[in-house]
Amino acid sequence: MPSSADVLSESDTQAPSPTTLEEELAELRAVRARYDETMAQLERNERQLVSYAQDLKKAFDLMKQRAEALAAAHYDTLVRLLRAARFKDEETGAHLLRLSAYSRVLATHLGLPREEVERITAAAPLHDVGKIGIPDAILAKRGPLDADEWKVMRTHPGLGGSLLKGADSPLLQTAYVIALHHHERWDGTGYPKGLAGEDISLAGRIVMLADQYDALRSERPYKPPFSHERTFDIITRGDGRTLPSHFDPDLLAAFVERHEELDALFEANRDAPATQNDSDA
Amino acid sequence: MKTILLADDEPNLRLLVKTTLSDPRFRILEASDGKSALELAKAELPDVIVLDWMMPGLSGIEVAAALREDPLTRGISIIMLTAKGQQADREQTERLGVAAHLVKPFSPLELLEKVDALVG
Repeated sequence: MPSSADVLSESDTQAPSPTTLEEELAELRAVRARYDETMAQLERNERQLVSYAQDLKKAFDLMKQRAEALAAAHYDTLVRLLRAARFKDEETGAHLLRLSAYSRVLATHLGLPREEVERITAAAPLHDVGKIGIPDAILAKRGPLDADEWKVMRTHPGLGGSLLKGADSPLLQTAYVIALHHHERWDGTGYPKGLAGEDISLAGRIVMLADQYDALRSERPYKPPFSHERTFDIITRGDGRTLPSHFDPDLLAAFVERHEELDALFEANRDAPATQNDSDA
Repeated sequence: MKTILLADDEPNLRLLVKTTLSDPRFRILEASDGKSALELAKAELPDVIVLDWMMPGLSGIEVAAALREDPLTRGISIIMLTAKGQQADREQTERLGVAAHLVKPFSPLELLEKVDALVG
């Protein structure tokens, strides 16, 4: 009978020998060690990733903060420019506040996007910044202006425009068109250019109506303050001086819907008594 | 205080997203599967849910559909955070009116911006 040793060749020997077992064990241990090291590496990567995530959040928050601070500083500068203009003018802080508020009501009613509403509201107070270029004698005159003085006065929209022209920020670009257009009229009888209809920027048309309302409600050297009812009448039906054709029909319709709010805003933000000057700023 | 719910079956991913969004103004809740995500959403009414699609049991898309069905949870903003990024997948989530569909590996900046736009 042949022995197993004769039938099987050496290379076929599968019977585990002590040497092969040790080798396999060693290999298993090596694999296990590599596995452990890989898991440890994964864990280190994970911790590093968490650290990245924390820093990313910090950077994002900082970026947001800086953007907000920049916008606030920008607006602060505008307001101070505005106050420089007011040193030379009778317009009160309360008037500018009311003007912003009226503009917001009208712009919102027209369904403008929130960002645009906010921009027009913020830019409205700058409408008369051009008055800084008008001589004091004319600005401070108590009585009515003569023809030559009016001619000078009517340059203030253009002056305001040249001050604000070519700005980078959307806010100042809106202030630019408001300054230029706030005395233009829908029917083309306004100044300085006699623009008509949609050639006048919407922001300009809005502020023009808001300004008219406030002027009629307020006391001026040349007129007493008018009641809300009388003002409503003058704007919607005209009085010979002010005509409905001066206004954008859509804006007039908005005014008719929201006029009570404008009245409430006027009452809530009346000018301080005449004894108080610009220390109210 | 705004509430954000994170639903994903991968704990490492939940940790990463939670760390990325971590903010004293946010309360961040976690769920590791669709069923508990839906229960937690109905109980807590978070402002935003960051929702994985492929989860065991109830999938993210089913959770989203259920949230939309229920008038109570209909107002929750859904940010889909998923490996599924094919056009057909995007259309499916769009039909459910999700606020965003972010594909893994996602941009953490994009996630931050979306969340900020919703509850910032």
